[in-house]
Amino acid sequence: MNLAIPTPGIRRRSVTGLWLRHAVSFVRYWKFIITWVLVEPVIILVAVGFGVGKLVHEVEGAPSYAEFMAPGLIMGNAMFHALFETSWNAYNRLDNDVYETALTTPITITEITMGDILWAVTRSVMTVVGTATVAAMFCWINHWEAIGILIPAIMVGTTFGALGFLFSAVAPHTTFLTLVFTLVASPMFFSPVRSSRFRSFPTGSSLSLGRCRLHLQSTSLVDLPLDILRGHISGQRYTWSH
Amino acid sequence: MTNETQQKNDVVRNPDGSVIHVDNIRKLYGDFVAVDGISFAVQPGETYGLLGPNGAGKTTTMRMLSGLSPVNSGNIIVAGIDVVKDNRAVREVMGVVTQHDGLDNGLTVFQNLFLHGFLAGLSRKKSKARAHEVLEFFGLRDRSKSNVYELSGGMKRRLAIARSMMTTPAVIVMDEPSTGLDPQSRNRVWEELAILKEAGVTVLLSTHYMEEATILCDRLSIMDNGKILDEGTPDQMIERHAPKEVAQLRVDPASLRTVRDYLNVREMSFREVGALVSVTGVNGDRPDLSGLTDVEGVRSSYRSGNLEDVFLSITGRELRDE
Repeated sequence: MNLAIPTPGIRRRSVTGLWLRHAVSFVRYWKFIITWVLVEPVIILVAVGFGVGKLVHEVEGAPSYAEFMAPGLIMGNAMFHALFETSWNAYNRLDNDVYETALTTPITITEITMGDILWAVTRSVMTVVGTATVAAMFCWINHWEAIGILIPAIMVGTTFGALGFLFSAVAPHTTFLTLVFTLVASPMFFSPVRSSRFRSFPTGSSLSLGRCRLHLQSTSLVDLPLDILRGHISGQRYTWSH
Repeated sequence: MTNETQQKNDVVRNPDGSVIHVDNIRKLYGDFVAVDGISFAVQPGETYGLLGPNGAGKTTTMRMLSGLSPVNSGNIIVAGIDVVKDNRAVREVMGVVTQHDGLDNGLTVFQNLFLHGFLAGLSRKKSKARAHEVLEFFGLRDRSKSNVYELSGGMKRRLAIARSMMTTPAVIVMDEPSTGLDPQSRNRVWEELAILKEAGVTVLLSTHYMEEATILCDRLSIMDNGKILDEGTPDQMIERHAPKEVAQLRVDPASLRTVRDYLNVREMSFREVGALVSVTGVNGDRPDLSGLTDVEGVRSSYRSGNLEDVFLSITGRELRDE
């Protein structure tokens, strides 16, 4: 059966076949993974919304602190899930010869990379939908345009899926992968959470990190999709000119 | 399944009539020459073995054949496909059993087969049907919903071989099919490989077990240090290089010196592995050990020459030493 798409060098079945493998494996263990997709975000959102949110009474440009924080948490979660999938999980697959076995079929390494990043995007979208649903249940997201969160979810999934795969490709051992979380993910997670460049949410919030702010802003790959997300959630469009 | 595999006997042949044609391939890792200009051809329906110790270049050769590792020079043609130029196409007609089973622990037995077939290009429906077929053939139907990590070593190996059959390949390449298995599981794997052979499947396997090579292979090459030292049927190789009979002495440590002196005086060649002394007579004839019958702590028996003797004779080293 020849399912090759016209673009020379890329076989569609290789990408979909690998994606299906990840999906089947995910479904087998969904009861465990779902806690990460839904339960953890609930805990964080509730802690932030009802915990810290009670202490912070005024956030300029947002009705409440929880509503101000929700988009950042959603994107941060998506980033972690995409990264985890292509760093920790991909390294395990590498270690257990899953890719080596896949390579005995007519698949190439480029297609393996594409299949894994596609799966990271899927995980990112699932996480965003799950977390956003929880946030919507608490009425922290209440604009119909919030459906647009799928766009930044795909952006985050692609960016961090690729970044995670890069780390697992060069990692000499699993401990090395800690770096992707400590040096890449954590700073970027707190970057979108602390504030936004988006005009309606000024940077002078209580979580601004003083002199570190500029640095974090320049490294944060989450900022652009986050700004788009905030635009959708708040009903305001992203402005490119800031 | 048998009917389907038999059809593969009509596999596309290379211009010289072979299914696998390897011509003077070389593989370098930096300055190290892993494979040093080897050539061989495998005919349709034949089981061909590469026999050699670890590090001889067998696995590297297998990887080059299946298009997973580029060659530095030389040509490989499999079922009419130029592997050097089109390494993707060759994996459409070739089943590969890697040295480590490479089974997916995140999936069930059935899912391992089904997803492999799907990735290889079968439709979902065909891949499911084929997975059931090979599970039946390899006696794993009852385990189809088991987790892979619950299987025994022998079952895992059989599943890995079953997986290579998912696409009804023209040729199967197996890297050490029974390494690490207990004798019972090994026999089971050999039985199944014999059935595949009856069905007309062309198999290239590598092994460092001379018993495996003797039982399974129609023809074989002896490899060492990246080179093929000789090629032929197991019988031809034994006739060419091994003594007709070898005496095996089990010697208590106290009598070892007496035995050594006896053999040295009569200029018989011998080798010691622990308490076992293998003795070869002059011109490969049955060695005369009549003088040792009265020595205490020496038990003797005789066996025919085998591929291990061939390897020793060609390389001067034990196969098992590596």
